[in-house]
Amino acid sequence: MKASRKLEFLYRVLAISIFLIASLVPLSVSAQDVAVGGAKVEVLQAISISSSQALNFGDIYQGVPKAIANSNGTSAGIFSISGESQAGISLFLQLPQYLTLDAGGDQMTVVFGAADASIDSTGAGNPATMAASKGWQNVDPASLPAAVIIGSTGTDVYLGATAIPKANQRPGSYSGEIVLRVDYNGL
Amino acid sequence: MSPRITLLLVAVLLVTSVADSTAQDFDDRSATARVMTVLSVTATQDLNFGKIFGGVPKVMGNDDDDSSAVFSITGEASAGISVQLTLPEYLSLADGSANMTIVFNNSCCSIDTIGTATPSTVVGGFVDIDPRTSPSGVIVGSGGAANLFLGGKVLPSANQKAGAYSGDIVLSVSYNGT
Repeated sequence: MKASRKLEFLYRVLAISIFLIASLVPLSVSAQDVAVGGAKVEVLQAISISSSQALNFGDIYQGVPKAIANSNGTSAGIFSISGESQAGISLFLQLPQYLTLDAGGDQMTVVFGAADASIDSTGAGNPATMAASKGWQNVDPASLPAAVIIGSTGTDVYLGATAIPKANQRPGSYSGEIVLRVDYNGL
Repeated sequence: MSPRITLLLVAVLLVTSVADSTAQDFDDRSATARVMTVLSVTATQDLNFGKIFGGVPKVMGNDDDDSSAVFSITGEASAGISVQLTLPEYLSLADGSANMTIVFNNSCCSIDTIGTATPSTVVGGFVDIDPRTSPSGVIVGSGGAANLFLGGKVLPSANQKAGAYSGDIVLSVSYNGT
């Protein structure tokens, strides 16, 4: 009988110890937790612009204005834009009022009409193949549209204008700068 | 000592031994403990800055339902907890070829101790606090849940290499006995 009570005592001690250990172990495991979240961001491709073809009036005569259409494949000005495909961009053209004689001493008026620009979102790079379905055709270069995107293969701006030489325009080569600025607009 | 006396002493010792042995008893009182509900935290939404441009910093608030980081905590209702965020200093391209600075100001974190809020609706708990400090008094909500919302700011360089950048945000939570 005494032996059985001692055995019972030992069993109880053992049972209480197991209970206490079992109680403590889950507490130490479940009392804390860790989660790993993330921060993420995507940097868009940088915008790149190149003037791939100058607006070229060729040879002209004193007193005879000459227009180059924005659909002229060999003479229209061409700006080629590349960057993040489908990203919205804002375009701004800074246009000259005059072309200047390279040797100096004279200027020639150049005007850009309200339909002298086209924007080709297919990136074809060919003014002669431009169509309304490819973007914006015959728009005002002084106020380019706001919803332009960079096409999957780029976007091009085609530009025409009219040179107006004076009757006594000095012979020689004239030139001027056309600046196109392009910014992502977040659209 | 006579054998009779010796026998008597042995008998006394035996009786004493028996008395000692039988004097032991057991108390039925037992040790008790209640294990609290397991404390769990899950990163349910990443801090997402979306698409950005080189050289143009972008801020994401802690109140943006679609883009703020969200950590969801579950555990014992109304139990006090300690929260500790480990924040990245940079986000990195997957190939490790470029980093971008990310900063967390002293008000870009909110903790919803009601447990039912979204980033844009949090009002109970701790609003616009410093994510680097663990405020005292944070509890699991009465419904057994709490949430932590986090914003931040990325600072891409002007010539930041294009691509997808990411970094880890680690939240550790533990019961603090309050």
